[in-house]
Amino acid sequence: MVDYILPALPTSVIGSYPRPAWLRRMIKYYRMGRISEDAIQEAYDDAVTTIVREQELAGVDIPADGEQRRDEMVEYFAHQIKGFKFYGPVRVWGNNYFNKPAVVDKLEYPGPMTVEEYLFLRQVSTRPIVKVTITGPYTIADWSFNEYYPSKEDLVKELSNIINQELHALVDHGAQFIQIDEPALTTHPEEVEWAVDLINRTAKGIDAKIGLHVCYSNYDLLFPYIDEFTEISQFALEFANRGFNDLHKLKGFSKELGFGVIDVHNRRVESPEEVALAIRKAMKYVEPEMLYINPDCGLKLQPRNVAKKKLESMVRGVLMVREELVKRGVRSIPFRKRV
Amino acid sequence: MQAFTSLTGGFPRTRSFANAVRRKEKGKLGVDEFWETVVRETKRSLARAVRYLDYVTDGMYLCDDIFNPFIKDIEGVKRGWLVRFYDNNFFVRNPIVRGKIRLKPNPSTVDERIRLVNLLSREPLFAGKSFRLPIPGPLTFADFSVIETSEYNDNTQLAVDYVKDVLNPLIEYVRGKGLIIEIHEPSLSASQASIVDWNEVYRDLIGGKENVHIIQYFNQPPLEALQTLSSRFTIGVDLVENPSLLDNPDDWLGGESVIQAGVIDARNTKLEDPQETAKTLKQLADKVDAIIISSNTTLEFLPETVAHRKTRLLARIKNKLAR
Repeated sequence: MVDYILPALPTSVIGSYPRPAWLRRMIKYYRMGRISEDAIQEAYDDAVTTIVREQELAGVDIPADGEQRRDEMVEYFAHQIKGFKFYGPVRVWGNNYFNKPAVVDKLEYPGPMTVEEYLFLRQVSTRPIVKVTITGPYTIADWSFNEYYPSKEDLVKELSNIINQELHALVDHGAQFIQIDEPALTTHPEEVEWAVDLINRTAKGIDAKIGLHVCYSNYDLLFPYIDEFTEISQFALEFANRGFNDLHKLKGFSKELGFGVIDVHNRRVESPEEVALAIRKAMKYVEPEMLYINPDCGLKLQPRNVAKKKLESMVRGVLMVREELVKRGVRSIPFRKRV
Repeated sequence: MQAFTSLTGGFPRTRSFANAVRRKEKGKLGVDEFWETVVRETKRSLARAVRYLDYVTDGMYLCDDIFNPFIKDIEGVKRGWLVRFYDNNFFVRNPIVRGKIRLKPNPSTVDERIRLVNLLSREPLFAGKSFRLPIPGPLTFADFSVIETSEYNDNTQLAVDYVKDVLNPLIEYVRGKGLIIEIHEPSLSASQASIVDWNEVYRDLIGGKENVHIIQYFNQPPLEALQTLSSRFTIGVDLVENPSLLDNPDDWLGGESVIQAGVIDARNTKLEDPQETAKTLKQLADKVDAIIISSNTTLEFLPETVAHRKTRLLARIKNKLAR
């Protein structure tokens, strides 16, 4: 069913966006007990309003809330789902830490975790479609310690049920585009097969466009499974980081592609011409009607001014290709919930 | 059978230590002030653990990962980009090989780690402990390296040179300093063995059981490699990931007298049952003269509080084993 028409090559973001400096200060004060719960919630709302406006001013067609309320993509859900425990931070690289949770009891759905986020985003965005992001069951399991379930597969199965309930809650409140983030998906090659089944189960019966974001991963492992993702309509994949070297592997790609054209781990701002060139290359393998444009991943690790410039450049590059597509008679594409 | 306990690899780096590293990198912390923090934090953290240990390392407090900053001490190598460390949510900066490799005459990062060991060993709690210095093994170094030079046509050549021109000089360098070289060799796995000839790589490695401990973890290693290497060096095996090694120990024990058994899972917070673990280890009782009880890999994958609990477990297993 087609509900909306989008411009050709719709632009979007993957999810996270740098927090404004003042929000970081407010969070610090909140944790020190110097400001109230109401004050920090107001700050979060203000930050989302600002970040969504910033994306829209850059020209992004499908904004997200920048995950301003989330410190980290797994931690955020583990704090809410019953059955997790936090022992303390672990290092991920260098001096960067992650509060890795441990599953110590049967996991239980706590009720809506992201619905309020979605409703606020919907309220402040002027765009017809917005994107909600949610961490997938496999990545939550892979980035947690498992003390309770007999196997990792059992743990992912449980999380899959929980996330499915959350997706239903989002759709019940009007969400139309939900992205499941699974950066860990190809980490253990021997687990990919059952992980695909459980991701399908996560998205089963959801009346919304479901995207799957998989980044910094082995796409040789992922691509043979693309057709088996029966519940997934779009794959948001990272390509700028790998110098657009793997594009030929997209030949015969059967789903929509969220094409990563901005390297989020490099402060250099890509030129619009570079972006346009990359899109033209991708269009050799993927029809423009099946192509969305986004950065490789969340922009949260960039300084805010760099993140903003990168989005502006991305949109300007897209505009250059859109002009060329007009000559081919392609001006818009339908927003499809299922592909 | 004698039993010892050991720390393998690093111990979780405290947040306050990480903050000190950041401030030093930004030029906001002087060298003397930084070293005060290094000693204070290392002592504070390791002191609680060391009472349960016979062998201890420098905690790798001065290291970001197994390669860094050690590769700064190797000529012909530059620090690369972040890559995943096996199947962990932990990333290391890979070595970029741009010329013939060789240990620098004045290996400054090794010197700093030795300085830390010397400072710690003067502390009463550390008295009588044997210190090990974790270093990447040749197969693991080659596995993670990106070769950007015509000096090396393949990983085997690179690994052979790493043994001859980096590891051997390093073993000589620390020989008089009373340190054991702890070689981390997760890439001594079945799949890796088909790419790199482990036999050729290790043929010229100097040292012996006393001063070279080769620690293999994660993947199932080729039994022949374990057997060959354990006849010359002290070998550590990962019995958490490869419990089947205990089914037929004669298939891989090379008539050695000492073996390190990685029986504590450093990748899960769940605490092992010391009674059960000791029972498992008793299967090796009539096969070896001594056993070093340890975690299967570095404890840095765990939160600090759990790392302390797991270290305490090592001593409890040792006590149960002695009964």
